[in-house]
Amino acid sequence: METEALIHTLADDATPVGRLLPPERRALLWLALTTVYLAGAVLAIGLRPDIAEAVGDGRTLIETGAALATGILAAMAAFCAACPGRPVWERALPLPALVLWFGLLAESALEAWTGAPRQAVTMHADFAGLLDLSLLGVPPAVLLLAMLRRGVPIVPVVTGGLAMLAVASLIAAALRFIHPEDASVMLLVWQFGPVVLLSLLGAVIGAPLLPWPRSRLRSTSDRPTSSG
Amino acid sequence: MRAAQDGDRLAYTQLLHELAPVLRRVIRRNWRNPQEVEDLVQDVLLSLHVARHTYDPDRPFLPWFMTITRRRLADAARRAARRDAYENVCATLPETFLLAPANMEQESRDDAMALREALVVLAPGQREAVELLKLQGLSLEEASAASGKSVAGLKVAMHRALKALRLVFDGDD
Repeated sequence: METEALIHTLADDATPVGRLLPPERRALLWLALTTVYLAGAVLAIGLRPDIAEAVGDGRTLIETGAALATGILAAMAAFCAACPGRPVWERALPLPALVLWFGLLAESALEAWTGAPRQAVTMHADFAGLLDLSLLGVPPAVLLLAMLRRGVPIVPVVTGGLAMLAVASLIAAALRFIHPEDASVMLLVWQFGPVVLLSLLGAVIGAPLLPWPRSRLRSTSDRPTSSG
Repeated sequence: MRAAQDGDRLAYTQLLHELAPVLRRVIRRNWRNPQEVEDLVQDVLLSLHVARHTYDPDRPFLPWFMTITRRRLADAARRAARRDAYENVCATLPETFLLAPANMEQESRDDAMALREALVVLAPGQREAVELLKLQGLSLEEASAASGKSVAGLKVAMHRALKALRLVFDGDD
């Protein structure tokens, strides 16, 4: 097909389009829905018995705040990454909060490991927490991916990773209200660790789950597009 | 672009016409194979079409457009790399196929290449006569006007060129 003919075909197909909302607004919408969902999940599962002490503990609050900030900023970054022409630095939005979160947990874990007598620091498998994080994350992850597919992910690997980072971080923050586990070593391994793993998984599956949209021209042959 | 998003087809056509030459220049600078440039131009225009709902009219158009262009070029480069990994580009096959229609395209390509090589041995005036009269298909008067030579001069040059070409091709045989 000649380019001139393609231009006329595209112009014939140029019906009015519904503009995508700015990424900040779409992120806020997703965050609002996810917050409602997580609040309901936390109440349904039940708050931890020592919630009053946990909320009063400054360290726990800061760590939970860092997790929340990571999730919120990662969601913003994911929606920005699905819009062509946005500044590249927006993709690094969650990095400071993520580093802070990791730093807090690592510092606390190091203190616990080196300061206390060895026998006072115990590690145990927390598969229940891991399962909760994975299962609780499914609905917000599905919603987030569906919303991101409305955009055009320029680098789907990055968008997928940011999306899963957002979901996993928010779930990890919510779990602090459910699981009475405050040992930093445990949190580092069984909550922060899965967050990193799920983010990497998101990056791996980003390309097939967030492909370049296919054209639906009314006339002419459909040119193949690549998800890259 | 804002007008195009609202369904203004004239504005959209004008925009695409303005973008096409820009795209060609950008892609020629960044793509090795010149034969694929037009395909890539069309690919980017089509990609712009499917992504037009993502353009924010409050933001500059060029970064949006260039991001899409770079992304599609990267995708094309990946496809080309995958294709090159399992394909070998064959040189022109020297064999003749059984069915006559199958030969024609291949042999006409071979003939065109042989003619181009043979033209090199001609004198400049003879080469010019062949190009104007035989390759471009001009009449004697038109060729005379184009070259500034007389009709008689072109006839003589053409006659000598054909003699020389006959020697070249007979020598090949």
